[in-house]
Amino acid sequence: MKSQVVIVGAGPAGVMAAFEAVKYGCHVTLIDESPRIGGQIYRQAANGIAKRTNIVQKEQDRKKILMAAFEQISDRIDFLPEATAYAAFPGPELHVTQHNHSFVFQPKVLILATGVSEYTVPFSGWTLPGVMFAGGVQALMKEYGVCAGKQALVAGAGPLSIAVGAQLVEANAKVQAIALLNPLSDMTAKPFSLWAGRQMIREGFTYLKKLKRSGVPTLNRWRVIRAHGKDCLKAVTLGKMIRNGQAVPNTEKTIQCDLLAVNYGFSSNSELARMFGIEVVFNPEFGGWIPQLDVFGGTTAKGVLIAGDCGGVLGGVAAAARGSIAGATAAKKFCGKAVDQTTLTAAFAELKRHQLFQKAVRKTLHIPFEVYELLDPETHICRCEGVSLERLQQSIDEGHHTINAIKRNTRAGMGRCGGRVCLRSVAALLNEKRKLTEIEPMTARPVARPVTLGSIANQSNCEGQG
Amino acid sequence: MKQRNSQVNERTGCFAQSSTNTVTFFFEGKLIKAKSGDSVAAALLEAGELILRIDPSGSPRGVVCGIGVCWECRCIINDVPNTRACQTEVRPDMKVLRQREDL
Repeated sequence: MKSQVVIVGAGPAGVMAAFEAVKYGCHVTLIDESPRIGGQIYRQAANGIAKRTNIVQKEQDRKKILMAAFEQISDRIDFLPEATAYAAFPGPELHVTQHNHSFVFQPKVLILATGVSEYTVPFSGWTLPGVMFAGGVQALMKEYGVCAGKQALVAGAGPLSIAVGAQLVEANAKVQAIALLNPLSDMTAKPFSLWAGRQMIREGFTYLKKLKRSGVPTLNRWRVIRAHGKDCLKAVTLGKMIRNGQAVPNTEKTIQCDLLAVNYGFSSNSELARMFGIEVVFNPEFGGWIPQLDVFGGTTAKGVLIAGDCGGVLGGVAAAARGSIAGATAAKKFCGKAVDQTTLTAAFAELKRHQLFQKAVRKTLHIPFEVYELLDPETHICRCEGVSLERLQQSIDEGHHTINAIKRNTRAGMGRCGGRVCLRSVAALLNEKRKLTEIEPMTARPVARPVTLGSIANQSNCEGQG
Repeated sequence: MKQRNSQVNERTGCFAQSSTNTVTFFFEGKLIKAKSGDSVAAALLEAGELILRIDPSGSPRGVVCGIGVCWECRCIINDVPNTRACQTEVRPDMKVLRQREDL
């Protein structure tokens, strides 16, 4: 049987979408790049002996619920692990590669639950081994029980830093400090939002308590100025700033560490959505270029729904709710099934809470442009193609005023990561120089991820299979 | 497709967690011990090997995103260049080399 519903991404949104769609009798194919379900947030241990990183019991409970949901449907769906969706065409048509084969799907409905990747502001020395994304540090702990350093410094913006800091403490690393661009207390500017997200706040306090008990200092309104080291990271220089991003003179301090876990928020993995021509709006605090959706996750592209943080960062709990909504919508609208309203109502209520809570969280994610001004001109902004800050500024001054033009001129964003690491920094530079009202992302074209020619040549059509 | 699927599910099934065995492999000719199921990146970080690649300008690079996004940890695994250490599971006697892009 031809798959009616194809879902890209097996995190909370993708799995819950699959669960709902299967519940109403749709035939579902679920695709993920990892060998196991869970996505980044509920990453499973690879060998069952991961060090303890479960500080918040609620988080573990949510993971168990997701695993149980998947267990219930696992024999009724096609799950393609270690598979990458690399191209999308209107129809919808989706090209997927797995283990040096590739498949073409033409489902009735495609649900994109591709999630987010991490964003960090570049700084001098950020290419040194030992400088890692905070979520990546967390992933290594969750999946392999590996702690990426012995003396760690956590820096950046947003609530992830405190979770990673507490987990590093739990994994027996010496955490030197947590340096935050905006204090978490900035969230109190939105008291109603805090009330809506009180469960999340409570979990946040569990992490803070753990940090406090271990004597880890939190440095508010401090930013990373430079990472030092010859072959590997040895130390990091931080500097104090005031609210609008201005540096406080003579406050620089250097902290010894062999790991810098850094995160300045998340970016929506919207490449596949953009290949369908779905409109995106640039909103840095909400996850970069966000595809425009209706309340059910529906888009302007025929047969394409979007679920989870790919459609704007609201977190794992909201992602599961948005997955349920998209799964039920797929069953009702595209497969003609009658759906039960009670689950939908609960999911919408959950989503609403997190939308409200996000208004508070985004207060911690604001990145003043002054942070970018600390860079040495020769620092690589695009790490894949080795494009320096100086080169980018020269390109903008020469009259390249769109991301596409800068990309053609400098190769920034053309490398293997597909611009997922650097394009938001390019957008920030462009915005500062040109004061644009709307920044278009670069045009998304196949292939979305590097694939081998061999796997494309080794292609089969999934119509008539299952 | 179905058959392959079920094989993969058996190997990496949702709740199936294999017992830990030690696997040994080689990094730059050096013997490295890892837990079975580890990624090359995880095993090398645990062993204190941080430099996986030298970029065209000669500067060292290591693991950054840990989840397969950034491709910074690409190295040569069993003679295949541009292989992501963070997305490759350690196999016995695997040969991993630092990727030199400056030569």
